[in-house]
Formats: sequence, C-alpha cells, structure tokens
Amino acid sequence: MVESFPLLNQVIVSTGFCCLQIGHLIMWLVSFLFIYLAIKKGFEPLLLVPIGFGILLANLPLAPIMGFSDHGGEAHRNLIQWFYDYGVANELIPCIIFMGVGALTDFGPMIANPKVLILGAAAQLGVYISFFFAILFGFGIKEAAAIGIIGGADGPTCIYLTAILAPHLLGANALAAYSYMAMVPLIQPPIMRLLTTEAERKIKMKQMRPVSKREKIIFPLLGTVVICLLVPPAAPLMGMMFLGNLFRESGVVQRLSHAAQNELLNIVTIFLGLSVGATMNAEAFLKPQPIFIFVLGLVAFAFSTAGGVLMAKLMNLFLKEKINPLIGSAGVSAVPMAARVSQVEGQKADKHNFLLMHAMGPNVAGVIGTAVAAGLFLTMLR
Amino acid sequence: MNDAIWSQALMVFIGGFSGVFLGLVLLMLSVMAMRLLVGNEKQSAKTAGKGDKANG
Repeated sequence: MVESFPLLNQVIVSTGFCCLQIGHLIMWLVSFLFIYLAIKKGFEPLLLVPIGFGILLANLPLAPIMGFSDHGGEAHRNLIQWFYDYGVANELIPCIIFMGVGALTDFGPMIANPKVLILGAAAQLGVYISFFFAILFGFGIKEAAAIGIIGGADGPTCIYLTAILAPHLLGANALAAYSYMAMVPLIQPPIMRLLTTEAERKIKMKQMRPVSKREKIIFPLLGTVVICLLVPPAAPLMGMMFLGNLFRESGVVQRLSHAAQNELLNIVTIFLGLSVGATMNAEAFLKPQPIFIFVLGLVAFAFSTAGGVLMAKLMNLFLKEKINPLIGSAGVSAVPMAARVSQVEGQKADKHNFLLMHAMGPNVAGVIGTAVAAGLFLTMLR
Repeated sequence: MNDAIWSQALMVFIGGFSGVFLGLVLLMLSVMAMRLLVGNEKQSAKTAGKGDKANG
C-alpha cells in the first residue's frame, strides 16, 4: 500500500527507523550507561554527560552529526565534525583546557616540597608498562603509546596525544581515561594498602613552609623554560598550563584568570565531550579493541599507583624527614581525586593524620609528568 | 612480533621513562635554585618596624 504513495514511501525511507541496527541500540545503552553514571553516581559529570550524549547523537542513523553531507555536489562538514576537526584534530581544545587547569591549580604545595616531583615522575610507570602490554596485545607502536598515556590519568593529555598518534582510538581512550579517573577511589586504595605497612601509613609529615607570592609568580615562567626546552613537543600543553597559572598568581589579570577557569574552560569542555562521544559510532566501537583498551587502562592505573607508592618508600631510605608513602599514589594526575584518596587512606590509619596538602604536591607534579611523557612519545614516534 | 618493533618499543620505554625523570628532576632542581635565589620574602626593616609599631 505504501508503494502506492511514493511521497509517503520517501518519507518513511528517509527516517532513521529504517536504518536502525542492533549495533546502534547497543551504543544507545552505552550512552545511557555513561549518562546514568554521571548523573546518578557523580562520575566525572562535566565530561561524561556530553560524551554520553555525543555517543547517542552519533548512533542515530542518517542524522547529519559526524562526517560529511552532500550539499549540491560539495562535501559539507556536519555539526560535530566541525567541533572535532577544528577543536580536537587540531589539538586546540586540550591546550585551552590546560590553560584553565593552570588557572585553577595552586602549585604552592609542590614548590614548598619540590622532592615530590620525583613521585610525579615515578607515577608514570603505568604509562610505560601498559605501552608494553599494548604491543603484546597486537597494537601498533603509536596506538600503544596512546593507550599507555591513559595511565597518566590526565584526560586532556590523553586526548591530545591520541588525536595525534592514533585518532581512530580517540573515543575509547578518552572514555577509558575519564572512567578510570572517576574510579580512582575504588582502584587505588587496595594497591596502596597492599604496598604499605600500617606503620608507614601512620607517618606524619611536617607542616609545609609557606610559599611566597614571588616564588609562585616565578614558577610558571621557570617551568615553561625548563620543560619546553627539554621536551619541545610538550610546549603547547605546558605553555598553556603555565600561562593560565601566571594569570592566577600574578593577581593583576583576574578577569583573564576567571575567564580561563570558568567560561572558556566550560565552553571547550562541551565541545570536547560532544566531539569525543560522537567519534564512538557502532562500526568503530563494537570491536574487541575498546575492550582491550579498557583492560590496558586499568593495568596502567594500577602500575602508576604502585610506581608512586614504591618510589616514596625508596626515597624514605635516604630522607631524614620521612614521606608518607600514601602520597605517592597521588602522582597519577587525577586532580584532586587522587590527593583526596591519600588523605582518606591516611586518616584510616591515623585519624589525626592530614595528608591532603602534602598529596597535592605529587598530584600537580603528575600533571606535569604526564604532559612530559606525552611530549616524549611525540618526540620519538611522531 | 618482529624484533624491530620490540627494539623500538624498548627504546621508547627506556628513553621515555628516563626522560620523564630527567625532566622532573631538572624542574625540582630549578625550584630549589629559585628558592635559594629569591628565597622567602623577608620583611624589610622598614616594614618590620611598622608592623611592630602597629602591634605595639
């Protein structure tokens, strides 16, 4: 009967319902799961809500969301393809997010106790271990680097590196990174308890010295010069982060600092989340690869946590003033969640032990460490 | 898996991980040097005097 009405037939055929496949429905469930986790459980909602919605949009058949449409014989970018090409593929958005992160970060605890930078370096262990495991699983060397960086627990760095080295893994990598960052309070504590004794968890650290305003202003300039000279490919991320931090600490450009921390950061977060989610269409995502990526991401997180804790124990062999090894785990970036986990675990051992500010040092050092690791991957593999 | 990939992977592992340590140790030394050079802001005699007066 429909054939008797060609126009009606055309309307029916042009709806997405006709092209709906089981893969799309599975991806809808994935989308709903992440939206549920974000709203109900509070898992990284700022990212998982737009990512989840992006997944839904990308899995609506015939909807001009990603890819290109034919406009009178010319290929025309669809809506989120614009965001993706100009924001993610061009590495613009991760760098702007880093400016916001810099404007939000107080490097004071790290400047007061610069030894914790070593913990931030050791906590990159998982990056390199999972890089090796990824090659064992059959991934190419560039893909392995992109997967390894999940262990740094830094979303923008993970997206930045993946967009350059293995853009086809972007959706799975970003999702794994943000999911595990949200699950830091579940992943880290068993490893921290396994690797430390009760006595070590009770170590009380001396109150940190106050850091002068002059030091806080000089630090972003110093950090830019040292890191960007040593690892030039890390300059876009590190340069933007230290610029944001200079806005914050200088105290004379509060409007810029406020904009970097709020409006700018919020706007690009929307575009980033949508773009990353929209890369996850059923054809690309429903393969064994993303499952391997999630497994390797967990391996990376576990080894990074262990690396930080074990390095703190090693340092204690030489230091007069002992470090509580629980702050080592905060060397994975995940700011400030990882530092909070150190505080909670420390208080379980001794309720009068306050580790939060001590753990913020390795926490922000981890952000620098992950960006340096990404820069070194680019130096060697680009 | 061929040997070339594994040798490249080993190079990336050693070069990368030691590079991260080198970078952050260098930054640590720079921060320590910064403290030595600029140090904690000390109150100048003039400011200290004013503070004392105010407190007194």
